[in-house]
Amino acid sequence: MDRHLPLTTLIEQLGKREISSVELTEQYLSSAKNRSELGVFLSLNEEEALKAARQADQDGGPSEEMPLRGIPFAIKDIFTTSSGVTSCASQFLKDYRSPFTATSVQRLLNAGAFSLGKTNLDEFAMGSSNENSSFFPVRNPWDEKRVPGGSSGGSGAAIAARLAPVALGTDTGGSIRQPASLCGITGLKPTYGRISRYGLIAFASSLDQPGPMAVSAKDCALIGRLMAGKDENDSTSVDRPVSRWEEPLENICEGLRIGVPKEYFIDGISSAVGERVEAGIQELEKRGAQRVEISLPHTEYAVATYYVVASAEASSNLARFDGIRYGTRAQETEGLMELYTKSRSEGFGPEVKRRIMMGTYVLSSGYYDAYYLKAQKVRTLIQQDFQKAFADKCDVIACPTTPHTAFPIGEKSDDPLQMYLEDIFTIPASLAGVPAISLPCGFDENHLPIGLQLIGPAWEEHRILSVAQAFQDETDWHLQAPPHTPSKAA
Amino acid sequence: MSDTESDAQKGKSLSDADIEKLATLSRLTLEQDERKELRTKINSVIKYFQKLEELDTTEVEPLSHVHGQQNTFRADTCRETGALGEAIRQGVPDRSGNFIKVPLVIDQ
Repeated sequence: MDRHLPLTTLIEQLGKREISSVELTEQYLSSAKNRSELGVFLSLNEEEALKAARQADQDGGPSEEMPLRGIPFAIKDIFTTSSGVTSCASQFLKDYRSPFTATSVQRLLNAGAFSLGKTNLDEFAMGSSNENSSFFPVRNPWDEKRVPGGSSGGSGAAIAARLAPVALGTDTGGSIRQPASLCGITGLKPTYGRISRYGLIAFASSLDQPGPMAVSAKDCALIGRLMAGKDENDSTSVDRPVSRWEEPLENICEGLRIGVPKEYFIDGISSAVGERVEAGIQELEKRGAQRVEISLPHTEYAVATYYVVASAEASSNLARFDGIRYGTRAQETEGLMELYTKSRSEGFGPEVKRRIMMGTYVLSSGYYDAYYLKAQKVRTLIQQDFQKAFADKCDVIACPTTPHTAFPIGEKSDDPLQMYLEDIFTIPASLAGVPAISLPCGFDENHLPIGLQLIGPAWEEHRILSVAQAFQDETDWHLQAPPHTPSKAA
Repeated sequence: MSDTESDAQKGKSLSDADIEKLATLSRLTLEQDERKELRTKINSVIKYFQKLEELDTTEVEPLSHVHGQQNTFRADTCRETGALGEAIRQGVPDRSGNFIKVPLVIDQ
């Protein structure tokens, strides 16, 4: 048995009784404990996971009705779970026990999967490096002196080090795709509204979207479509049919028009990133795809737009953390106002405070039109860029996920603007609400992974996942694990 | 913080007093060194926000929902929550029975 195999292969082996869920679960749990220096897990669900595994083995493994029976999975600690702590990597919620489970998690539980544990993140998902966790940072399994990306850095590193067969992330401006790219794994951000946000601790509600992170696009496809669909507890979730994404559309690459946006191949990106992404596009051309040069002219305004909109929404969403009904309440305070301010000042880390204050600023009287309304208008222009490209020129867009590979821990933590600019290629798809996937397409000179991003029109997850699967049929970048991770588990 | 839009457009950087006012509005209290650091970092980001001024958006509609969704309504009906009520109360930092304890709100 090999915990390095993709999820969908493990499901087949479980189905044929070649492996047992207990063996699989024990292997992941012991690897998680052996690699605790990576900082991946905030909590492990050991006892319950083993109990669920034993039950799954008794019940007969995966089936059509229970396609994930016997499969353990890791959950970014921003999804509420009624079992264990949901901390959001914040001191404010360090002991918080949610009374309910997020819909997207519940759907996987209903399909027979069970939680291995909760993964580390930037506090309240605010960050691109996982250095903003209020507990400890996550280390990149390809080079432990480097960041895994963020905010779903724990989930990204969990897959890279093969500590789980699939992990859930959330993506607001790139928080699934950027760590997927930096960790050399596959990560899908679905169309906004595709997967319920109920039970996600809210950061920026007009952007937040959960999604899967795994070894292969096929794995992401299966998990993504099982999580998808209307939920009456999230009024922004959309009632649209969800096809079997894991079964790729046939001959997808033949005649496929791949849009290559010139604004994503600029001087600021590392040469290895440019070269490997270019080689990835050529791989698809070999399979019959046709390359089309396109322009997304408002790309350079995306980062500013995003940080206005996301900070504004964050300042509003995080107003609920007041120390009254849940979370940590400051001690020895005098009067209600001091209880609020002291609880918040003690509970939130520096990046969270900064974003709340920036959001408060852009929403404040006299500044609303100049910043927030302006950013919402530019957001329209950014969405129109994508709509025009897909209407006139191309079927999918291919580009780098990030301008650089994983950077050293501490390198950008003192300069928020530099850190924010790392998200330049993931933010536009978030602002437009369209689906996007990052998949491994090679390594740089330091053997750090590089991600190829495929972006599709709204609701066309099946299309981009099919292209991604076609790419992975021909390449093995996604099957490569960090060298110091033993290739066979003991 | 001045209340005129033109100041925002000019990219006026925030003073210590502005930061203090923002902290109050955000229900945060800041230590001296924290205030200084926040001022520097927030100013660098706000300066970058000025980039949006390069674009003429007079004729552009603002986007608040990517699919143009409007309000979603449902019937206002009572639903049994079962054990959820007690589960929620268990998360309250300071309670007395079914009540949440808070500091005195109205002066006697």
